[in-house]
Amino acid sequence: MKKSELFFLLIFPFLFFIVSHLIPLFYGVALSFTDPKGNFVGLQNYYTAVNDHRFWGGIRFTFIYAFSTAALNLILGLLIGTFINQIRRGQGILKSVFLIPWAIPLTVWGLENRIIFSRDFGILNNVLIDTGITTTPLPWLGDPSLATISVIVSSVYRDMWFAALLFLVACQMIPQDFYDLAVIHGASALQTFRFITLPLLRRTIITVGTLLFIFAVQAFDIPYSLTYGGPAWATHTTAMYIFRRSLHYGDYEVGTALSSIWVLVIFGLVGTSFTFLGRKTMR
Amino acid sequence: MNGRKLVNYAVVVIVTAIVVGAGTYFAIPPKEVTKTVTQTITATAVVTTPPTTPKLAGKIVLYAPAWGVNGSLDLVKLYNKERPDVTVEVIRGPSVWDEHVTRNTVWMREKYSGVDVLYNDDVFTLDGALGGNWVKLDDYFTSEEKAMLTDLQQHFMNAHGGLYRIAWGNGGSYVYYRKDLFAKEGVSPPKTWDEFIDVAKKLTKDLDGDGKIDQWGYVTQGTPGEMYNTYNEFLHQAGGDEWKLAPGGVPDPTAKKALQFLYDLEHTYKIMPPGITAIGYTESNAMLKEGKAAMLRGWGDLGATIVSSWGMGDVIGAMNFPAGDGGPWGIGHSWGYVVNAYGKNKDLAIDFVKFCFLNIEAQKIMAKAYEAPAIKSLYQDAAFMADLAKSNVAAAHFEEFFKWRFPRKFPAGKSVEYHEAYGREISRALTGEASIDEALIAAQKAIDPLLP
Repeated sequence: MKKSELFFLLIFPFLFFIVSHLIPLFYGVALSFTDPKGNFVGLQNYYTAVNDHRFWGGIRFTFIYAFSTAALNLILGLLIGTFINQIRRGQGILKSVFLIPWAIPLTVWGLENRIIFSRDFGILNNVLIDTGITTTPLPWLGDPSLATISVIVSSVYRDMWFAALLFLVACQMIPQDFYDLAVIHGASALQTFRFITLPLLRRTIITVGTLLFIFAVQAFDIPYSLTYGGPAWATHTTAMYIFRRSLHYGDYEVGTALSSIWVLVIFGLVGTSFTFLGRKTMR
Repeated sequence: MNGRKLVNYAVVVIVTAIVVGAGTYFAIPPKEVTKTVTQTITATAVVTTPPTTPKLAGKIVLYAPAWGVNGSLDLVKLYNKERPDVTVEVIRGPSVWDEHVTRNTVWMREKYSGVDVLYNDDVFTLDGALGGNWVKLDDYFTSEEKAMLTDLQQHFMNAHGGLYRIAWGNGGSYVYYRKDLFAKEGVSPPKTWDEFIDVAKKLTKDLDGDGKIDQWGYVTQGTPGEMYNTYNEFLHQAGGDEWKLAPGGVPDPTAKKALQFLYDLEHTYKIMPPGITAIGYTESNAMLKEGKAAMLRGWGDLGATIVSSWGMGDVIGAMNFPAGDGGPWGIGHSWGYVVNAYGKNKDLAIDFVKFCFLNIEAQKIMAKAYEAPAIKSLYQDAAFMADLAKSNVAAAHFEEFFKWRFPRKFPAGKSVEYHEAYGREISRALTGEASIDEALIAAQKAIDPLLP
């Protein structure tokens, strides 16, 4: 292919990228330096943004949520994936079943979970009381700590199956000979997992863990539909606060300043993660 | 010229066109199209069918969130009898407040022209009036016509800086109660805070003896926006001012008393279910309906739902709030039509809202669809009020209730953030994240930058 042909072939995707991504991005950044009338105000919106305790509260919860969900998804996904790998029959059906929660839209999932976690009408409290685990219904969404747990559990219960599927696929890439040898040498199931499965899944674990963390940092849908960020500000993620500030309060300028800060944080995280990922997986 | 070269040339032309087109679009601001009002429509001072007006034709777009759609459709039907050549397209909006907020905020901010009439509440009427989003309707009505409005509506006109909304009616928050449970316990609707606690305690019960409460004395809504309303009601009952929670960082004694009272309902007297901050309308309404709560704070539309959807008009009654030192205050509010100042069909939109205001049948439709009449004369219409009482359990008490309904003090242009931040900071006292004093100080700190 000639250079000129390649140029014309690439110009459309390039223009599409410019129009759809970079123009809004730069427009947003430009907006963060203005007041609602369009006057340049320097760093005033950034000053307002960094002095907003709700923004910092959102960052705090976002990281608690991201670390918890990434870690739990990783651990549970790994365990389920390797367990399913042992099953010889019905794997295909299980794989399809795994994807059901993951295929449900996030907001629908959040709303469904509101019914589950409801104090007076929820299934969870009914089960806990019927089984004698608790005597009184717990305010799963009305207490800050319980609401944090509820949001994390709701998210993990949805996403761990997807992580499990990724680990299942990775497990199936490990040559069967290794396991056969382990059996010949009398290794226990735990030893096989510890000395064969885990080391050989290391790259997958790092990659999946990093991706899960990056996805979780951008959390919006589940906390929004499950708790609206409440009680008070307890489960308010950064993305939710930016949304609220911009589209509920009509404060686009401070909202875009918050977004710009948050984009930089996420870029930093993604950059660091992938550098780390590159080093670890290259070894 | 071979085919390949032709394709190359074509690509160059298309790309240039896109770049130039995009550049032009972003560089040149769209011209604002202005219309001159040429139609003069006279109206009578007496509420009656509007006078014959010149023939109007065209189309207007009316937006209403889900709860304003049915009434709007009835109004459009009536309007079309008068104006058969005007098409009113009713856009059904979201059924969730949060989504209504997002849509309105973006439209107002972007000066959206695709909608001519919007069904809005106090929050957006005020913010839009200040932002120049709505048409000021004062000049389209005589002072006699405006004087027909109730005191609550007069207040809103003052608060908004003029007549910006054609109110569907007077609205308010009330206490609904299970008459059957009250009768069973032999108690009457409480009039004061002390009586309220006493009655609610008697009605809070472990019915099956398993050690857990099956029936609560009282339930309210504690989600952020509603926590603002719930607390604000107690604050007014205590005689407080919603802008003075902790002026200068010192908690106001009345504000403290009100928040302590709300806290005690859940944590000390335990007459309200724990985790109230997660209880919204769906859950609290269901609790009253199923007899899991004996008293419920709710808006006036619930009075109609109780009759029409639940079929429990004979079991559930409405009463005023209990009085603290300040009186039995509840919130007075209103929804109604505003005319988009940036709309494409302003003349027709104004004609439509004028019709809604001046036509007595339209007023009746609005009052029935909403809650209570917005004009004084309908309260004197015994037949209409009797009819209204059949469809809303609160209606029989409207005259008494509206003596004790206060309009909320939204700071102009900041109403959404104000009531949401307020509610969330106050909630922290109920969730145990902050003490009463800390929550009040935090709420004052959150609202101070928003106040005029």
